[in-house]
Amino acid sequence: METSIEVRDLRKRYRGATAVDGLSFTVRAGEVTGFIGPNGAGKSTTMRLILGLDAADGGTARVGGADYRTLRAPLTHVGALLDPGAVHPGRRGRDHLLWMAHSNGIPRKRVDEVLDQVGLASAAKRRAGTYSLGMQQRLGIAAALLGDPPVLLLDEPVNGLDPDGIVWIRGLLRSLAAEGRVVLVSSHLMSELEDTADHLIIIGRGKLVADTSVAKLLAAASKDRVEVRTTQRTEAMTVLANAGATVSITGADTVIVEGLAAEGIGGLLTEGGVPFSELRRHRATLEEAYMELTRSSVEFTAAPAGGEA
Amino acid sequence: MSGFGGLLRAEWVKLRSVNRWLLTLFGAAVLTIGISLLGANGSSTDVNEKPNFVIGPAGTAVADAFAFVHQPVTGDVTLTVKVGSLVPQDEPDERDSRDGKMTKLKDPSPWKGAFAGLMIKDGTQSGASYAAVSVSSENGVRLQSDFHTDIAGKSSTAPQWLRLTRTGNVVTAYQSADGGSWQKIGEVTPAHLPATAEIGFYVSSSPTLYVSRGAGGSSVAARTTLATGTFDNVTMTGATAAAWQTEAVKQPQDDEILQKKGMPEVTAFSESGGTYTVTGIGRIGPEDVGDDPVESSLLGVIAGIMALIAVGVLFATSEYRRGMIRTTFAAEPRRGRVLAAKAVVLGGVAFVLSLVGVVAGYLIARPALRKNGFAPPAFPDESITDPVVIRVLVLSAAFMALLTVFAMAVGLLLRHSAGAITLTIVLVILPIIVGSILPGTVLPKLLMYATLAGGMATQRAKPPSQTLAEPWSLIGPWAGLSVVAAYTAVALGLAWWSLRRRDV
Repeated sequence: METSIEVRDLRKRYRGATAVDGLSFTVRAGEVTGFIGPNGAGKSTTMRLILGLDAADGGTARVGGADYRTLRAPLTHVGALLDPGAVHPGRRGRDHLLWMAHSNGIPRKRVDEVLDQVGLASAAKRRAGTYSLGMQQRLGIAAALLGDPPVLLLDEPVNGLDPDGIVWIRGLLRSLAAEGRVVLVSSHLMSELEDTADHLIIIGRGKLVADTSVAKLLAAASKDRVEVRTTQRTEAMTVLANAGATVSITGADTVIVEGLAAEGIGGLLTEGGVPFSELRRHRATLEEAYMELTRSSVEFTAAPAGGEA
Repeated sequence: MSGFGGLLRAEWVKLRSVNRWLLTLFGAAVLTIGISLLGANGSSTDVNEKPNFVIGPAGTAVADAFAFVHQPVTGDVTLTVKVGSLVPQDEPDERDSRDGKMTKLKDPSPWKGAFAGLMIKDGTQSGASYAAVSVSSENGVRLQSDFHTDIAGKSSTAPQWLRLTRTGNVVTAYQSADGGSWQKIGEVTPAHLPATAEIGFYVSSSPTLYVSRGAGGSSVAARTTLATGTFDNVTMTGATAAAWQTEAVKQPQDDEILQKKGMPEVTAFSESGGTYTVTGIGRIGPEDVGDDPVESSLLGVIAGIMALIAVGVLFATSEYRRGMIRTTFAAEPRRGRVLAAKAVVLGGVAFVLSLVGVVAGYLIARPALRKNGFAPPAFPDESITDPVVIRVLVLSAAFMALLTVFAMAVGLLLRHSAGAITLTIVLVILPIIVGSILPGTVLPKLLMYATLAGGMATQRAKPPSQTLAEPWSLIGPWAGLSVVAAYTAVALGLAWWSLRRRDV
């Protein structure tokens, strides 16, 4: 089976509100793909459509070339984490994995293996209702890994994890991708995936905003901006603006210059007798790049105080 | 590759891994047993102490009263007679009484109505062994013996020729339209026919029963009736004929009853030119005392049902709490198979625990009932290995299991625990209440055929009856179970249809 997720022109409306609006993208094996968008952008809906839980109004979503609903023993093809709270509170963690294993003919010993892998072995016999949010998240990840599937869909797996857990999940995602699996990880926080994702699919209002590698996105967002550190900001701005650059102040002794190459800036400042201590290419954060991309597609425009959007 | 077996194991793990459900399932069995025992301790009867029946040759309660024209004959004998006429008492279909309007009981029993015919009997004591061939007012010619054997002849009415032949212990009966060509009806062997037995002709007339049901109870009134038969062409071969004696065979309590009702002792006999005219009252046949002790030992079923309904609904609705159904359908996208696996596992577990409940309930409650008067002869001892008792226990458990699956399907449809539990319980209980209040038998019977309450009929060991207060006694056990099975099938079908269509 070829390992990929292919979404083509996917559409879904709920009671008149469009949740997914002509979405197309492909997720490839061997890299971690971040699925990013503000809350309500349609990430979870897209995942439910891929898993055949909701019926699409148009378009197709195929996993490894097949409609999910036609898969036999689907847990051995696709592992999914949708809602870590989706466990009966009275059921032991181990029993939750055991029924899933039985339903797909997965051997019983896999249950203990994945419990070990996610670090829940000691809590396996406790009832899920007593689990912390982080433990629930680990149980959900164990369920996704149960069938050793080549394709993984994880909806907000970082939510609720403690710092140790965040480090752990990043390592896990990287190693799953390194094994040649398809790994699609959704998040509404770009920063969560800063050092994890290789590729990004960014959506807003149910539409594709960007489908790009992380490196390209950062390069595009950084453009040719140069950060200048100087004690004489005003003089520096006058000199550079006269040369046709756009200059903005970003700190007590820093300005950002757009429209001029770094070498030219150094020359101009020396010529104009403006002292400066540092000249370097400005590198945008992933968060900045994302904010710029999604600003137009945030469903509910943030209040002036500004949330994380 | 995972088969349906894997899904069954998965649903079994789901069911057994929630302690509260397990406790409630076992609670259903315990409730069934406990309430059955409580009910048995609370009910008693004095039917055996104040009997209005006699004991037949098989040791069971029987009715045995009629007018008998007879003589003792030793050894083999053949008696032939022409029944010239049989005139039963005409009774209206409805009567007014203190309890309101009462309706004549439509009883298909072959022991009912007026009879005129030949009989050989072990003396004239009420309840003694006998064989008789007779023309009946409602069911043609019958050969009957010892209050339980009944062989149908032709559906002829008087005038009719009848013949009774005793050869050793065997009695053979014939009938003829003209006294020339004879048809054999059959042979019977009464339990006890002494060398010298009483043989002759007789007339009996069952009381007409009037029933009123409704307002939560039922009342039955028996109207004593008379019938008159004429006999001629009386010939007896194989014995020396003696003089005919007339006797009213009576049950001990008959005199008291007749006295209380101010009725004369009417057993008239006259002879004129070889034609005998006999007027008789009373009934010959098995006596049903109404109560069904097997049913009475299973009062806990209705309590067990409540607990099972709760588990059935929660097994379904819990899937919708926190979106667990998504994990379920991601693990098996073929939703119909998931539904089938859930129904099989839940139904199977409910059946086993219900069977434990009704078997233990019966075994514990039945002896308690026996101690409280539900004992022979009015209530013959039955055994748990009797086919009818096995039927009651298995069908009752099947009723409880089907109801549990029905509750699950309703839970899947409504996705709301309290609503689904309430709806299912109302569908069982409300028709019972309404059926008890509705007057007559037609509407309550229709109600039982149309609702889940009909399933209560599985608890009855006795045949359907129109004289009891509980409305489900109007229909048979298989009919009742079929109603519940049909409801369950429809609910599962709707659940399947809705699961296939809905997003989860």
